[in-house]
Amino acid sequence: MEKKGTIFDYLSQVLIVFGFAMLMLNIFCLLFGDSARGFSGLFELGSKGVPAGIAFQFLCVSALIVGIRIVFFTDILIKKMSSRLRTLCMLTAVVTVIAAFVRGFDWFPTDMWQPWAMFFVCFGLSFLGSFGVMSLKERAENRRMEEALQRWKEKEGGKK
Amino acid sequence: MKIEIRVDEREEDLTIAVTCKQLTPDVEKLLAALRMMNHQLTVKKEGEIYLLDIAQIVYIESVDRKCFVYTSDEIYESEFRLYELERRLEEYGFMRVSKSFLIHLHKIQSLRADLNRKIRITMSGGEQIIASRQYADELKKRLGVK
Repeated sequence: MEKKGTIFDYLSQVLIVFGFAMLMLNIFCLLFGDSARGFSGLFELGSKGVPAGIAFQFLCVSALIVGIRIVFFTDILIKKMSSRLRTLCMLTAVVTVIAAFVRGFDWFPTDMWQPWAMFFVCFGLSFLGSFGVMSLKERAENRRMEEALQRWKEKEGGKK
Repeated sequence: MKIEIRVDEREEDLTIAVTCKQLTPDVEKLLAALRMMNHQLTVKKEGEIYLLDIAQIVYIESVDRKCFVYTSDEIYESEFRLYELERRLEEYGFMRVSKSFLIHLHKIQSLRADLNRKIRITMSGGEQIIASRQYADELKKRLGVK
């Protein structure tokens, strides 16, 4: 039977995104924490790790990102939209949410171009990586289905 | 209703004779079911009854409890409900892919993974039908993907 998404599926996705973000942020803290301590709220504790307040803010961002993904990458709310437009809308919404948190919680100085450049490079690489994996997975799935269809047609055609 | 069975060794073909006072919808349904054994589906178009070769059917759509039978160039109406057609046509390579569509697997041109684990099916005439998540898994099983 059809398995419908539950609140637990949503929470597990939120925790996966949050866990990955925390892992990356802690790696950045270890690498650049001490040198960036004076500039960014994210690195307030230097190389010791991520402050609890920032961790909670990241949890909120993760919840919003998973929510945005559900809006644009399922047909629960939007029934008809091309996959390109869905991707574009999702990207715009995610960047807007993160930018709002950056400004609202002073994650880094918004008047400096370097942190923004770093943010867009990191975001772009993560997006390209996940998009690439998704495309490869989809292509492999399509190929498997096409091959199975051909096999089925040959087998069933042979029965006649 | 009386059922008479006559076994005659001299008969070469199976003959089924239906005797009735008039052609009621029930009798027509019985005849349609018998014709299906002969790889034919009784369908209607503009008040006329046609015997359609099952191999010609591309897909069947149910709209407001009516079933429309699509071939490559014509649309007919069937007296049967979609669940009845599903049961009767399964052995001829038909499969239910959503609440309202029954497709002829031999007439599939291509399959593409779609949003939410659904499958976008392109039929031989270029029509696109979406297999819902529940039926997409069944379709994959039937084709031997899983």
